[in-house]
This record gives sequence, C-alpha cells and structure tokens, in this order.
Amino acid sequence: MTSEELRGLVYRSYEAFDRGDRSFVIDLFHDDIQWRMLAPPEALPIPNVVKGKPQVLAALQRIDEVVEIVRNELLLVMVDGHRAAVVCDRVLRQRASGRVMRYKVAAFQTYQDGKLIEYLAFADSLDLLEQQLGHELEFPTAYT
Amino acid sequence: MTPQAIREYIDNWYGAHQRGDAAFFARMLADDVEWTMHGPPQAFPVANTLYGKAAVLKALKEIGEALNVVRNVHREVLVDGDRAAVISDRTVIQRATGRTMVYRVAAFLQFRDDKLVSYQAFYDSFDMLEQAIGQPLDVPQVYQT
Repeated sequence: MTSEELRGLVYRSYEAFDRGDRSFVIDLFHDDIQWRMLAPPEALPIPNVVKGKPQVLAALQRIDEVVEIVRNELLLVMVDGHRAAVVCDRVLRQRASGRVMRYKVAAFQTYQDGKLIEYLAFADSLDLLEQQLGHELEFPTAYT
Repeated sequence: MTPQAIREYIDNWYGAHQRGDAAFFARMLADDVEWTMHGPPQAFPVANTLYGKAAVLKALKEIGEALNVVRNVHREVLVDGDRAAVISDRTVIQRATGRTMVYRVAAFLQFRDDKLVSYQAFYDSFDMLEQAIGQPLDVPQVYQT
C-alpha cells in the first residue's frame, strides 16, 4: 500500500465511523490489533490496553454504550510508509449524565497488510477526566 | 525541507533539548511560531499556548530551569511533507525536588523555510501531574469497566 493509498484509507475509515458504518471498521482491524490509550483507568470505560480484534470490538462497543460521539473532526492526517498520525477535535456526550465533553486526541496508527494493527491515543487526560466528572480536581501545586 | 532534512532537524532538536542548547532553538524557531501543550501548566511547567519566538524561547528556558532532561528516546518519527510527528519516551528530573518523572509525549511539528512554525504536544497529563506532585490523586471511577 502506498502512502497515498493509506491516507485515503485513513480518511475513509473516519468517515465510515462517523456515519456508523461499523462493518467498515470491523474489516479494517487486523486480528492481532493492539489498542492503547494513555489516560488514567478511572477516565476510561475500557482497559488502557486491549489486544485482539474481538476484544477491541467489544471495547469500542462498551465505549459506545457510555458516550455518544457528537462530532469527530479530523484536523490533521499524516502518513509515512505504513504508519499514520491523526489529530481529531472530538465532542462526546456522556449518555448517563448528558454531559458534553470536548477534547483533542492524537492517534498513532500502524497498518499491516492494509489493516490496522496498532492504535495509540494521546489526550489531555486530566482535562478529559475533569470534564467527565463535571468538576475540576484539587491538587497541590507542582511548579511555582 | 526534504524528509531527511526534517529527520536530521528532529535528531538535532532533541539533542539540543537534552543539553539545553538555547542557541539552537533561537536559530530554528520561526518568528511567528505557535506552540501548544495539550496539558495544564500544573502538570508540565509551561503555558498551554504560546505565540512568537520570544515567548517560546522564554518558556524553553523556564522548562530547563524546572526540569533536567536526562533521557529522550524517539520511539516513532513520521515525516509527511513539511510536517513531522514524533513519539518520545522521556525521563526528566524535577530540579526543585529531585523527583524523577518518566512520560511518553507525542509531538507534531510543522516547518516552513527551514524553521519550526508550529509545535503541539500531547501527553498523559493526569499521570504527569501525579508524578510532578509526587503522589497519586484519589479520583472516582467515572465508568464501570
């Protein structure tokens, strides 16, 4: 797969996910996919690391049970060989509380044989947790 | 810039960062550089957003005064056109406390005319904050897992 083919695949995958085309996403995942999110476990409805296609699909289903994706705007898509890096501006609604959260997420993706085999996401996890809780956290000052 | 030139730039950047080479950053930053940290100053000692070379140089100096970078390892470097994305595993020592902090940071860079015009970094700010204050934060579980 060329870099431009991969770039097209990344765009199509996000478009498919946005319109609810779960079959596209299911076909995209490699059987040995590893899904990682750098955030405190308290902020996530799934483990920080999930391995294997059935497990990742179940994890995404679990996420869908607790939050609704209101908007997922691609801000940046970079491709280099078989890897991609994406920055999204994401808006979620917490189903239980109706609370709306907005954050940016950076996701690094590795593809093998045209399928996503690794996904690693970064976000401002403190801000995300505070938005999910609905209040700011109190903590000592680290730097003056 | 060619992809190779960008990769060399990145190698030089992080080396300069580790040795606190202020002159390197003074040469490499565009006058209108935009700098974004996706995390609060409480976790990492720099404002969320900075604009302009002078502001970024000042912030880099302040970071150097607060943190000593003892190790920086590139885990991934992607180059696409005039942009780069880098994942680094970094070890720093908080100078005031001697506390060692280890974190992974994802940085997105954009270059123009051989200078850095945009930088944004993502990291697990909650974990970084806990390391910076030297204690875990007691927070409730938001969701049932």
